[in-house]
Amino acid sequence: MSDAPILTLRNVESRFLGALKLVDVCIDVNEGELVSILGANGAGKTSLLGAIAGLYRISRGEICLDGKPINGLPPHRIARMGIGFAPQNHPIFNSLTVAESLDLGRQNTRIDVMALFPNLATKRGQRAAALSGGERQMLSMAIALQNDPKICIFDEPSSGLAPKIVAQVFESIQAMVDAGITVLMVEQNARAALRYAARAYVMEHGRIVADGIASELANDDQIRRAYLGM
Amino acid sequence: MQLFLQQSVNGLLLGGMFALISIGLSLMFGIMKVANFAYGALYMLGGYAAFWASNLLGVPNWVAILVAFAAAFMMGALMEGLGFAKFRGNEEATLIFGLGVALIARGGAVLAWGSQSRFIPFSFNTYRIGGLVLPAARIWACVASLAIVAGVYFVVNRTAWGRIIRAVSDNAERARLVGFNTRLHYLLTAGLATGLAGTASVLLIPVFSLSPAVDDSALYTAMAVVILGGLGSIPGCIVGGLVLGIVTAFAFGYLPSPIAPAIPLLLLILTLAFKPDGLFGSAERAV
Amino acid sequence: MISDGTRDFPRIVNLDRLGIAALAIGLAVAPLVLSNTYQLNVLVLMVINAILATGLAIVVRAGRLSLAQATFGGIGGYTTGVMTTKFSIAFWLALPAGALLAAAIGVLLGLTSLRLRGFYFAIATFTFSQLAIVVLRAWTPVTGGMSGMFGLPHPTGFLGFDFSDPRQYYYLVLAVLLVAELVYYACSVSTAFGRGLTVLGEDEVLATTLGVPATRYRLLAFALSSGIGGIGGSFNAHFIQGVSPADIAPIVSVFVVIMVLAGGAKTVVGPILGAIILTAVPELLRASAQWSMVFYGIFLLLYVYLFRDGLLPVLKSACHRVAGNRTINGSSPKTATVLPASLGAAKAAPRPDKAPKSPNGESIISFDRVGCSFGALQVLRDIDWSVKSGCINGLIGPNGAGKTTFFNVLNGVTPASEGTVLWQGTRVVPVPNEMVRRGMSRTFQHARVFENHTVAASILMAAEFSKREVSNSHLKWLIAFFNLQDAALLPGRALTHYERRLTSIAMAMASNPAVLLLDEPLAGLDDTETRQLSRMIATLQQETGNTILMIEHKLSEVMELCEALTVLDHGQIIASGAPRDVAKNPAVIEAYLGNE
Repeated sequence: MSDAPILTLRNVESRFLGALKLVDVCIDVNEGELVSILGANGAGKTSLLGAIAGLYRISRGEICLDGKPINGLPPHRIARMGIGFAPQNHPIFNSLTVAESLDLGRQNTRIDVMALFPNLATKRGQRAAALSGGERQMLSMAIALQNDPKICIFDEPSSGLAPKIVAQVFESIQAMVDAGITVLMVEQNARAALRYAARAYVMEHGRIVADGIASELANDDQIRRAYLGM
Repeated sequence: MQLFLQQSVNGLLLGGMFALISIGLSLMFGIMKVANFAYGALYMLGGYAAFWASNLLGVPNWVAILVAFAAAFMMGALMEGLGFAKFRGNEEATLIFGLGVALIARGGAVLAWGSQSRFIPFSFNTYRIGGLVLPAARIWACVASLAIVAGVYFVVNRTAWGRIIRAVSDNAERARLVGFNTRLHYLLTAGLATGLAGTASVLLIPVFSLSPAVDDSALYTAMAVVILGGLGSIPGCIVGGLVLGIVTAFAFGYLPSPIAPAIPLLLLILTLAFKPDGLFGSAERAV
Repeated sequence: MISDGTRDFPRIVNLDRLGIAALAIGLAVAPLVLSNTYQLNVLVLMVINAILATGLAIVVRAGRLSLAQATFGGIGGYTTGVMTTKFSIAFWLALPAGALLAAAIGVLLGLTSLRLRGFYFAIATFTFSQLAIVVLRAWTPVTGGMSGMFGLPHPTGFLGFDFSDPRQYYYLVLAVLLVAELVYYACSVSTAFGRGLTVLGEDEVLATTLGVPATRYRLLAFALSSGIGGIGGSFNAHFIQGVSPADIAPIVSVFVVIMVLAGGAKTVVGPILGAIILTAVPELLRASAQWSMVFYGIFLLLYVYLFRDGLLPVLKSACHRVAGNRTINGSSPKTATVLPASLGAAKAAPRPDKAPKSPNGESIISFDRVGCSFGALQVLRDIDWSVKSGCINGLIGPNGAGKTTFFNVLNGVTPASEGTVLWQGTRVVPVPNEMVRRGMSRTFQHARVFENHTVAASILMAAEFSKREVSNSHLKWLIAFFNLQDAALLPGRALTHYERRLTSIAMAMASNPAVLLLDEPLAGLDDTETRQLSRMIATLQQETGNTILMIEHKLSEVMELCEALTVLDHGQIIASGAPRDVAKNPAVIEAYLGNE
């Protein structure tokens, strides 16, 4: 285990149609950590993940994966360098079967994906289109786990899911972290996120306005009220 | 009875040939989700590439087939890279782009090469078995058709690359996030699809000959087959081709020739009106 | 009743009026300038092309691209040709017959458009045009077969007009074009039908959900379009005094399509402009048929790469630059600058209309043993349910339980395969636009708004399409209530996600429905927005007294807002009643809530 963070963002700025989306964002994610990004809609969380994955260009700053700069590279190169990104609303390959969707890359060596998501294991031959909402989210995460990514990035993994499934999703993320996988997670559900994450960053209007150990943030009344609506 | 058998044979052979014409379009429709109105034009241009290679350079026939494939492949990849990629998701723009290229190709072909029919010297016999006429050219075209369709089916559904292009077709952005260079895969798929069209064109010169007018009938036949068989279904190509072939053969065999063309047209319109997904298609596109 | 929808459509600005005036003058004096026979012939053909293009534009606006307009021209031409030569009927009597026949066949073709769109529809029209050619070629005794008919008479003159003179013929078809233009204008902006047709072409799902009768409107559009096409074709046939299958070759229909695209189907005079350019240029270049084809192909490519809104905006910005004005495009996303009068400042504070009550105290809407299947897949099973009137009802359940299908059966997007839907106690078969008229509106999981129309215009149109009695005060109140004053003049595409959500709910409320169906209204909102909208929904129900049925996953809000809760799982109701009780139900906990 090296000391340097797996993912670093330094002074990242981005714009969309001229308007600032991200301002002076600095983030570190260390190997094996579960880090969460919190904040209101429009705070820039999805822009942040999009910038890391290479879907949007940044206007200033640097993004490094395991020490190598990745900003400016096309998304498929960044994915190959080791980012497993599962975007919001679980986009998957509807016309492929579950088995085919998980056969697009190498199997993950740190964790047995089929054991992690037993629902998927029983539906290997089914087309992804036939899965329920919770199963789709799990498949989306499983797809992101292929090729042994250096870091998994999940955008609002619990959104739109029934409460029972939400618990299952967070537990599977915990299992990933226990197996040594690094996870960066954007979450609307601040309470749940702070329960599982080690550290968290709070965003507002494109900036980081608070960060620290998750339990400390959760207990800080001011932060809870101002940013987390708790 | 003799007429019935002959038309049945004709229909089957015609069906195989129709399937050959349409496999490229089926690939474009099913995987690339592109309604390529220039398909017929590329079919025609591939044929001309082979014709000029054979006529001017005197290459053997099998080389001419490769030339047709290569020429059509490059033109298809070019259309994808400069056009379809830009208009992805915009159905109207895609249609119009294809139409524009088709018009230029058709007009240009007549201006450049004239409208007379061209031939490549293939030597083919005609077999006669039990009073039935079986032109070898058609039989070979059918064999090639089955082989090519089977090959495409295998590649798309059973190989790793097939999985990749199906994933790209299904959700290109997610495919990118899994590490695939979608632009490259689109180029390869478009090239393959149009390359197959060009190849079909050469293989069918002994039967249908070659002229600029061929692009209309190729486009129309391919579209009819793909609709009958169902979009996105590669085996549907064979079935659609056979259905169209048999209906056409019987119509022309039994009805006076001014009326006969109406029958396959009616078949197509009725299919569109009542079962637009065709016989095998997935119900995604029509409605 | 609202009638101010016109004000909010892209208004005819000074430059547009100037342009139209210039066009009109140009068309009026052209035969005086270009007066030799050849030039007059070209002018007449140009105007006839414009008639065909204007007719086609009606269908294009309605969201369908037809490759058969020339065929309808041929139907008109052959009909008047046969009637004048074989039955010695006067042209002016034969003309309406040709138009009616073309219109009737157009309606038949339009029936296929109900299930087909885009490429599929284009192929259907293409096939139809091929079929027409086969029929016309084969029916030799009547149509003259492959060579067609010739010796067709010019239209009989009247009032001293002699239509064998090309110049007079020109003015004749120009008059016809003017009539066609007026019909097109009525089909685009100036009538309720036109507004409905336009949004039908832009977003069919949203339009039908707001009450636009898609079938009726589209079939009427086809009738008008092909009728006009038939008339144009008749005038063509009796000008060149002949008609043959070559006139209706598919390529001719393609040319008409190109003319419509060139001018742009979004503006009223676009098709005329397209016809002028695409008839004039090949003539000027003395192009052969093949060179014309190449020219058209290049034109299409230029169109699709450079000026996809048609040439009119390009010309307009050029004129602006010449006149020294800044180009309008790109400075502000607003497409209108002033609120329509009906939504302007009010003397008194605006108030919402009260929702109509169910007359006999029956539940407004209920299901009696309703089931819904797609082929072998049964999505809803044996649903016995009725809404609790006058409060907020909740519909919850795991993903895939059938909640959205439940809504779709309620408003008619999907038919029930078994059982009965009851509106105020009476059996109905729901059809989306009829349900709106009765008093049921809905929103969608992904907030749907009209991308190209302002919030204010959209709300006005929603009220108009519902055909219900709604006061101006109600609409003004909605805009204020949902805090949409600042966004009122922005087009749908410029709104934030939250504003889209609010607008879509305001549009559904614009018809003052008795029942409002909200599909996951809080989806995608952060905690602040969630609480804001949640409170708004509660207040909305209190102020209007209507009944709300809401699908939601955010349970804390559901518990607070709803008086009645129904839980769906695997297509069946597993619990129903007051929220507290339902939350304690073990079956519900097992299936949906988990042990949180």
